[in-house]
Amino acid sequence: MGLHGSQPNTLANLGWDIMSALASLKLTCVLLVALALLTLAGAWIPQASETDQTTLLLKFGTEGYALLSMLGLTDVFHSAVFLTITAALLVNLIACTSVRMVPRLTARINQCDFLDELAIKQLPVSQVIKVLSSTAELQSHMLSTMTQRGFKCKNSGNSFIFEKGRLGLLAAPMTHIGLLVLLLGVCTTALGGYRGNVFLTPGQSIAFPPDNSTKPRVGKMPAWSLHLDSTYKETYTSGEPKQWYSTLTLLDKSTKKLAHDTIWVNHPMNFHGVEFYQSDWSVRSVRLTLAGESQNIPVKDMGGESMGVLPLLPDVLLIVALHNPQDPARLYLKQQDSTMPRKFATLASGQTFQLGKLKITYEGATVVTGIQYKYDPGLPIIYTSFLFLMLGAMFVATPHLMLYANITASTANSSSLTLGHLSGKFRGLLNKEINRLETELTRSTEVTRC
Amino acid sequence: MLTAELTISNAAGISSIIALWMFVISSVFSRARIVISRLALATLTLSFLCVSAAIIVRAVDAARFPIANLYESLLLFAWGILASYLVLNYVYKLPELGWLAALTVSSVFLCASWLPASQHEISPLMPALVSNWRTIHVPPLIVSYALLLIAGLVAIVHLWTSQHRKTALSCILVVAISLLSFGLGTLKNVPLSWVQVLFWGGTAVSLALIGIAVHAETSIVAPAHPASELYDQISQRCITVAFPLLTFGIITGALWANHAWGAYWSWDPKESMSLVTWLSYATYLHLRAQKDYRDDVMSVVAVIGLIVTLLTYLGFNFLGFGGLHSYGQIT
Repeated sequence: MGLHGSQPNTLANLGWDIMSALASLKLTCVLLVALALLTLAGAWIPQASETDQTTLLLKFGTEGYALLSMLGLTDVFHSAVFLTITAALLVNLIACTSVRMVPRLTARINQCDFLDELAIKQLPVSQVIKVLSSTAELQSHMLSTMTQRGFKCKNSGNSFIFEKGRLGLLAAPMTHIGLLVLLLGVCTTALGGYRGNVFLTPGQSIAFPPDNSTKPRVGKMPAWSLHLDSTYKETYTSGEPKQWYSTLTLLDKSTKKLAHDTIWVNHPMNFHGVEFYQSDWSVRSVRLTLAGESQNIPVKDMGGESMGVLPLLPDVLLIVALHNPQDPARLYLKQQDSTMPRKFATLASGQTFQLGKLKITYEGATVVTGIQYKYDPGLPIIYTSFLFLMLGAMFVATPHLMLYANITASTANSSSLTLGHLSGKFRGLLNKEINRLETELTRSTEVTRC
Repeated sequence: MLTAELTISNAAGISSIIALWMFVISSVFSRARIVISRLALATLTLSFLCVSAAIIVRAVDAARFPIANLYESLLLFAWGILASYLVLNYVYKLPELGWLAALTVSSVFLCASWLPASQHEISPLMPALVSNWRTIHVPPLIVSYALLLIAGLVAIVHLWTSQHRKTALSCILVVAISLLSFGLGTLKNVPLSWVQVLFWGGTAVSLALIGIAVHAETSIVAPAHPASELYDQISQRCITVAFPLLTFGIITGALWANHAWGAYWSWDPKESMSLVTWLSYATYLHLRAQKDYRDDVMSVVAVIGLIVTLLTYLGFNFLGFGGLHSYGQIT
């Protein structure tokens, strides 16, 4: 009977002990520091997702790279350690919210914890002020002073609670809720979202979204096609790129136009929650006709110029350069034994040059635009979490000040006022308020500080 | 117009240096202390007005909010430091900390003037920066960095005045090593790997020294320096005001990134560093929430936060981090 009776109680106690241990603020601090250190490592060490192995080998050497890989520092944000610490922080956050925050917040809101003289004296900060006046006079002076200072007062007999900045109480709960909602949003994105990149040349269409993802997801993918009508680059007078534009048309299976818009960086197109972003833009190749034969010469960006090379003879190279796709192309010849290429023609699109017996026609440049697409069903949840986080952070700047006070009559004409608080966070501000109250009481009555 | 802006910003720099000397002189001549420190404060206010005017003139000249390169962000940083100090002085009456604000802001002006000429010129915006989000996202972050810098420096003053001298000196050492590393990072003939070794190695050694000093000075009960507790309070208030600004900056950055690149978080080095800064100050606030916290430990955490903030803001550009935010780098 005893065993059956005590088992659930013991289990409940054990559960409570575990929850209390998990709700430790010290544990929070340790986990926050660990997460900060790992993130710092991830910021400093180039991550596998943003660089290639060769760069890492060049930077850290073979042994250094092997060590970093072994420690999971080349992909910190997907490493088991990072995810474990994040999960532990989440558990700590939930435990802290339920075990510490909710009961404390409820008590503060209900304000049911009036303290007597003895209890106030046991608070981390307390002070006794002896006043040569009756308790009624002292109470009157104290209430008028504290009300002037913006405090709200509640009392139960001779015990008082002075409070201001109650919004500050919501700082931690709002931030914690924000983080939990953020996690929910991220999970929703991971389950139902998709994203990717497509590269299109003008006039080209592509089945959208390309079915190349192996990641399991919830929900149906649309069956559309994306058509690039045109694309161009706008430049400053200095030649630097000002903006890249792409005019897109989204079509359904029956080639019915669903959406049509021109996008640029910072101006995406949205259709039914699927967004299309201008993410890349480059000249892919230049088209030349050499002696009647069409040639597509791949080009690379070299210091803001698109340059391509075609071997004409075993020891002679034809170099094509252009700044913008609509600009005339500059043609150079470079012999193997010479250091500098020699320019021999500048041709606008459609123009021809006779190089000895070789007839060269510049047909134009082929540009390719990079479009990023994204469907993120978790975004509204994530934006809601941002709101919570923002509110939580704003309330951090609002100090919640709470003073406990108790008045006792010493003799017929003298009373003692016991003041105290338990705030670690706003200790300085509260001490200042106590000193101010003491000064005000000094003006009106005779005071002895204890 | 550019000449006018340079003249006004130079006037701001020079007046901050004059203010620094006046604050120093005011501490030497005890009789005329009040008068000289008032004059110094007026000069610092003049510096604030000049830097405000310089930002406005540059904005008119560039026909945009001037936040596109390191020079422009340093102007705003100086504005943030001056504005923060003037507000703090108004609220808490702190002429004795004027020298610290003047020293910091004149260092920022010197750093801005040493930048290459290309940084001083008004350059066209790259496509990703052509957005109103730039005006919403960057200023709160820069002002939060200014507040966090003041919080860290005032924390060192608190350590010093509360007789935690060894801890204060170790904190000064870690700040000095960071600034030295960033300075060397701007020089082309110093290998980046050396600068990184100096920064990481120096910071690790300094942090170890701080740990030893904190342990050694555990039992110190601070003598009643009149302002010591106030410095601790100011450091905390700066952090509690900077934290929402930092959060707002990070969140608006995420919103902008989602608008421009289709991803609100990419684990870009600068993004990651801003998260590290946020986590550092979240740790500070959690430590502060404990009833038995120690003032000296809180000040040390504020100084570590300062290093992280400097690393996020300046170190990122000078220590060879890459990523999407590399337009802040000196070329």
